[in-house]
Amino acid sequence: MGRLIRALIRRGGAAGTSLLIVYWSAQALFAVTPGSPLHRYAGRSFSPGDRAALARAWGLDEGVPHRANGGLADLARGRLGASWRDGRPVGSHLRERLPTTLTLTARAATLELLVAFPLAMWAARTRGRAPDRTLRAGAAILHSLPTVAVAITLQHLTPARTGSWAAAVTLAASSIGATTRLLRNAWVDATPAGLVLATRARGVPDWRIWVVHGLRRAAAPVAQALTASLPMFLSGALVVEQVFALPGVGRLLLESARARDLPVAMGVTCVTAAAVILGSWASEGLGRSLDPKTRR
Amino acid sequence: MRGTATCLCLMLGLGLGVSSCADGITARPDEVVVGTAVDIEGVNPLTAGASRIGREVTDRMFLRLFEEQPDFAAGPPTFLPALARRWTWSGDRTRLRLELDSDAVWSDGTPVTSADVVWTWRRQIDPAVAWPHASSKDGIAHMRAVGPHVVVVRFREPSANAMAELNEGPILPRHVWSRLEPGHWRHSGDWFLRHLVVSGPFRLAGWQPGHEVRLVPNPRFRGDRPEIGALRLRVLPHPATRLLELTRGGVDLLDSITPEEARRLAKQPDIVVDRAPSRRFTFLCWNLRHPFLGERIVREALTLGIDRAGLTRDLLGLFGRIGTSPIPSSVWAHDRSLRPRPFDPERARRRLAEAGFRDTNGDGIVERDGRPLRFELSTNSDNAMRRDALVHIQRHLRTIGVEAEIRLDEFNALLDRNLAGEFDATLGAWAIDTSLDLGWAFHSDSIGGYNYGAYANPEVDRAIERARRRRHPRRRKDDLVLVQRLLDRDLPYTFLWETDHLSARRARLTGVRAGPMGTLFRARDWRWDA
Repeated sequence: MGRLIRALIRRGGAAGTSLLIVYWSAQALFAVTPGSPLHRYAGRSFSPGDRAALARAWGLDEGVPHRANGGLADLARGRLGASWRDGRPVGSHLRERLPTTLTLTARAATLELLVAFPLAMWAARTRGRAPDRTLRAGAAILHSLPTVAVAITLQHLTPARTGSWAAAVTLAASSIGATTRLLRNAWVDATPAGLVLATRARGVPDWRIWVVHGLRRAAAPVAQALTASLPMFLSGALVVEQVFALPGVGRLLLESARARDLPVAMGVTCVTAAAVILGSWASEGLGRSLDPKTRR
Repeated sequence: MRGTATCLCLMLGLGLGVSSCADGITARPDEVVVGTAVDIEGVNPLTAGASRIGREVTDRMFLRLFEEQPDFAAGPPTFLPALARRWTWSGDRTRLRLELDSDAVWSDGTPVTSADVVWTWRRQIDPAVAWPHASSKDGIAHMRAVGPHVVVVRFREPSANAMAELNEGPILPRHVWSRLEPGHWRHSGDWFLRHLVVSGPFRLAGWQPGHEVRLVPNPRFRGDRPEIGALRLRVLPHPATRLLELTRGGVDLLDSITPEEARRLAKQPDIVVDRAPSRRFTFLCWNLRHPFLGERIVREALTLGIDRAGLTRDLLGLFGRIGTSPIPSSVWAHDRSLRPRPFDPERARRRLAEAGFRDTNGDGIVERDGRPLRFELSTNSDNAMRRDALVHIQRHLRTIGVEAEIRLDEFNALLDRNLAGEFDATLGAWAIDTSLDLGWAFHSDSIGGYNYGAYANPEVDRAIERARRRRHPRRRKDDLVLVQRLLDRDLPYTFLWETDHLSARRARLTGVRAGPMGTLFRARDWRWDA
């Protein structure tokens, strides 16, 4: 029990430190990014007085460290502040946009699993032969296709009402390639030819060798890879949401960064960073539960 | 094994479970769907962001005092009654008496009164609200309600733009919004959404941020009721998506399309491309602080060395023309005597030679005092037409021995550099408003601001100041013509082209008047033909 508490404290501390580093790095990055948020709102008719009033209303008259410290204190109290663009709470923005991105990434992950598993198993079973070589080449091509090109092509080929599924297919496309290759290699490692032959000789049916024995040993690295691909999904969502006009977190980040809407951009960054940290924990936990070796 | 299977099933189940949320696009047969690149940024016109579509949506929901008309080709724009039904000027044009529409009511049934007008003006100029257009009210000395439906406005001095400045920003509901202290306005976007009462022809029926805005007719609006059942704005950030949605029926109207898009859409049988005069011009601004570009003769040589006719033809086709002035040819005060300098590379080379430039080392670039005539041409990276234009210009200038390096910056970064004067030449575009005040770009007071290139000419300053005060259009035009001629002589800008305002709509949708007044201008007149 004591070990568990110590582990939790250690993990919590590491996560907190990571979040702090992300927060300060993002603040520093926004501070050095050229382009004042005032330019976008302050038109040609904007007088110096108007500009000063708006800067005061947004806290831009305070120094960056002061503003960042204030933001951090608010964050610790669970307050994310209000958008400079529309004055609405950052929390409202995130609540509106997160479901779209979660749905999109969940669909993409589902498609990834449904497609990559059978392909990888087929490739592993035919290792070194034509189907394996073809599948590996196909997976490499799929992995290297530019997301925006896939998105625009799929959008033209699919009816408007299936747009969000087409978006999920786009997002899944490149990761299907990567996961298929990874899973195939894991399966090949997990089922060496000698083992397969020996197990077959004991009368174990073929499907059991591949699905039960193979999957047990191959699942851990794949599960870890899948959860670790969360950040990749989030960055892919940025392009996909833009092309398919889905109101998700990726687009929110892009819009707020373009508009130099610091509170929203920081809110999205912090939530994404927390998701990535949770993803990495989940990945590790999944690895431990699936692979007995790592438990030791 | 059981653990493995459980985990995989859990992941699949989670994926399918979350993904079972349905896409909700519902449509009415009598609604009009407008595609827009950006979303609205709130419902309070004083604090919502700077997007044009946001302004247009609030203008459909809240009445202004007058309705400015797009009749700027023949003279200064005229105004039709909106909330103000009648108005009379004092003899010296410093006092304006407004009689408001006594039938106008807010959507909660409360009458719109003179108190709303005066209170709105106070909020507009309140520093705590920090309205970006507050300076447009600088000319108003005082405003008071002299009855429930009569307002008297006193101006500091007579001005040609008094009506337009008074009309900047719609009238807001005092009886509801005065409950919130001005200091909280900039952090209370959701509060205004929850307390939204409107006076215009449309009311907000729904807003899914980043996705769509839905407006429906306001049943309490006493003026001409909209003929369409609803107005839906779909936010489609990618240009390819907007075009695709128009061609496959997901959108009925697209505004501000490019000439290339107009050419493609014009081939579609059920789509009509509309052209309207625009007040937009595209230019190359020279930084006069640059040791070479600061010389008028060099700027003239560069202007002669750019094939602007070819550029306009290649990029705009039939939808534009060479620019000659910051007041485009669609505007009443444009100087029609101005002729664009021709593309004349030989004359350009002679001008450079007169300025002392020679190619002494045979590398094809002219030099003076050992320094080659080389500079940066910058523009914003997200505009394909401007990028293409810079490539053309770079090629043209190379033929007269000038080396221009292209620099593409993100929009805000470009603006930062331009405002700081850290550029050599920048390609941009302005849309001039009907006040025709050119001071922000060419008055020496604006150096350090939007007079990027630090142009200073006392004669131009005086003419701009005189034009601001003139009340008679003909006298005002004389001053504006003088400014245009001096700019044509001094060449702080090389004017590249003027574009038409282009929009595309489904052929059955009629009554659309998209143009410089906006996409949704007179949306209440839109209708579907049988």
